[in-house]
Amino acid sequence: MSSLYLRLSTLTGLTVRDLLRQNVLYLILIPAALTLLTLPLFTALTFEEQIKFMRDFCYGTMSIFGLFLAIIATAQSLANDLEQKTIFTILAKPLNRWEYLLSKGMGIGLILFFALIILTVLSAGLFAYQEKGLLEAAIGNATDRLSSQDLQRFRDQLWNPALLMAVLILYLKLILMVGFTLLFSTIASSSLFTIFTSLMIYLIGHFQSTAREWVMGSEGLSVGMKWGVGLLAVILPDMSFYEGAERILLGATPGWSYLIPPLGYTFFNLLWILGLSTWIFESREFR
Amino acid sequence: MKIIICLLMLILGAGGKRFFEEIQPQPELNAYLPLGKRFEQQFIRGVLGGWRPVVADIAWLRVTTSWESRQWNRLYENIRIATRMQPESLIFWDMGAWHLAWNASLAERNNRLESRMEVRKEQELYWVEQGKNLLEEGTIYHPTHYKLWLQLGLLHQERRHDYRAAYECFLKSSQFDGAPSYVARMAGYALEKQGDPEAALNYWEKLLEKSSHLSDRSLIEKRLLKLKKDSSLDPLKPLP
Repeated sequence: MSSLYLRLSTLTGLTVRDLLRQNVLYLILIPAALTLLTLPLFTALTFEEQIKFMRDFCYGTMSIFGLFLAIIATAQSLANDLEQKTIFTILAKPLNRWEYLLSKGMGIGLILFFALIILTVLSAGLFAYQEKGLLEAAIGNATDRLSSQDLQRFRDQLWNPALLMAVLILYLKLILMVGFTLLFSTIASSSLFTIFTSLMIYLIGHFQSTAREWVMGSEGLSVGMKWGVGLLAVILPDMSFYEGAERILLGATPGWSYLIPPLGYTFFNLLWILGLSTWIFESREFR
Repeated sequence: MKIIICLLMLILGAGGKRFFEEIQPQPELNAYLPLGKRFEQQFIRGVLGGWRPVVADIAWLRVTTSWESRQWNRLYENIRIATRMQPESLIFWDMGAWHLAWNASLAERNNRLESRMEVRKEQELYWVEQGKNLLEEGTIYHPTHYKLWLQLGLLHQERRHDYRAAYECFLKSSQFDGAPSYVARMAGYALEKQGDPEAALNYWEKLLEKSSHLSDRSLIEKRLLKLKKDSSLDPLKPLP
C-alpha cells in the first residue's frame, strides 16, 4: 500500500513539475488574472446589480480559463510524454498503467486546485477593494438612512460563504473534463484532436439530460434505439449536475449536502473513465 | 485479471453515474419550459459556458446606458439579450419590464420632439405592451415566483388600467411562497377599482377569514367597514 502511495505521489509530483515547466499554467493563469483585474472598470447602477456582476464576472473568468487549463494541460501532458519518449522510461519501471493515468489526472487536478485558489483569492481581494465604494454608493442611493442591519445585509450579499461552494462545484466539473480529456488522450495521437473532442463533449454534455428525456419519452421508438440512446447517455456527461453553482451566484445559500450529487456524479464518472482509459492504454503499443 | 478489474470499474462507474442521473431532480426550469426553449438555453450554456451570465450582465449595463441616453429600441434589444442569456435571473424581467412600460412609454408620451399627440399615444402604448409581453414571457420561466406576477398586476393596473387582469395577477401572485401579505390586499383594491363593489366585498370577507395576522386583519376590517359604508350596507351585518 505504501509503495503504491509512493509511486502515485512521485508520479503526481512529476506531472505537476512537468506542467509548471511547460508554462501552461502561467499562460492561462496570467490572462485569467488580468481579466479579473478589469473588474473595477465595470460599474452598474445599483448595489444588487454590481454585486451580481462581480460574482458572475469572477466565476465566469474562473470557469472559462479553468476549462482551458483542464483540457489543454491534460491533452498536452500525455502527448508530450509520447513525443519526448519519456513514457518509455516511466513504463519501463515496475508501474501499472492505471497508476500512470491516475497520477496524471491527480497532478492536473492539483494544478487546477491551486489555480482556482489563486483566482478565488484574487477575486476576494477585488471584492474587498470594491466593498467600501459599493457601500458608500448604497448609502448615497438610499432615500432613508441605512440601518446597521441594511449594511450587514449588503455585506452578507457580498461575502456569501456559499460562493466557495460554487467554486468547489466548478472544480468538480473541471475534474470531470480532465477525466474525459485523459480518456481521449489514450486513444488519440494528436493533442489538437483531443482538445477538440473534449470541447465537443463539454458542449454536448449540456444537452444530455434534455435529449435523453426527449428520446426516451418519444413514442414508437424501437428497443434497440432506446438501448443505443441509453448507452450514449452512459458515455456522455450530464452537465446539469453542475448548474447548482449558477443558482448560488443568483443568491441561493444551500447547505453542504448540496455538494453530494455533483460529488457522487463526478466520482462515478471518473471511475468508469479510469476503467476504460486503462483498458485502452493497456492494449496500446508504443513504438 | 487487469481487464476484469477494468470491466468492473467500468460497470460500477457507469451504474453509479446512471443512478445519480435517475435520482437527480430535473432543473426547475425544465419542468415549465417547452423543449425548444430548453435546447436553446442549453446551447447557450454550452457555447458560452461560465461567460453566459457575464454576457447577460454586460447587456444589462448597456440597458442602463441606453436608458440614460433615451435610446428605447437599443434598450429593448439589450433587455432581450439579457433575458435570453440568463432567464433565471428575475431582475432582468422585473426591471426590464419597468424600463419598457414606465420609462420608455412615459418618455414617449412626453416626447416634445413629436407634435402629433396620437403618435405619442401610440408609442406610449407600444412600450407598455412590450413591457407586458416581457413579463408574460418571464412568467413562463418563473411561473411560481410571486414577484413577476405582482409586477404584471401592477403593470395592468397602473399602465393599462385593466383592473380585472390586475386582480387576477395579484391573486395568483399572493398564492405563491414568499408573497408579502399586501399582495393579497392589492387584489382587493384592484377589484374595487374595477367598479365591482359586491365582488370586492366578497373578496375582502374571504381574505379576512383566511388572515391570521393581527395587523393584516385590522387593515382588512378597516377596508371592509369603509366599503360597506360607501355602499350603504350595515357595517355590523355580514354580507347577504
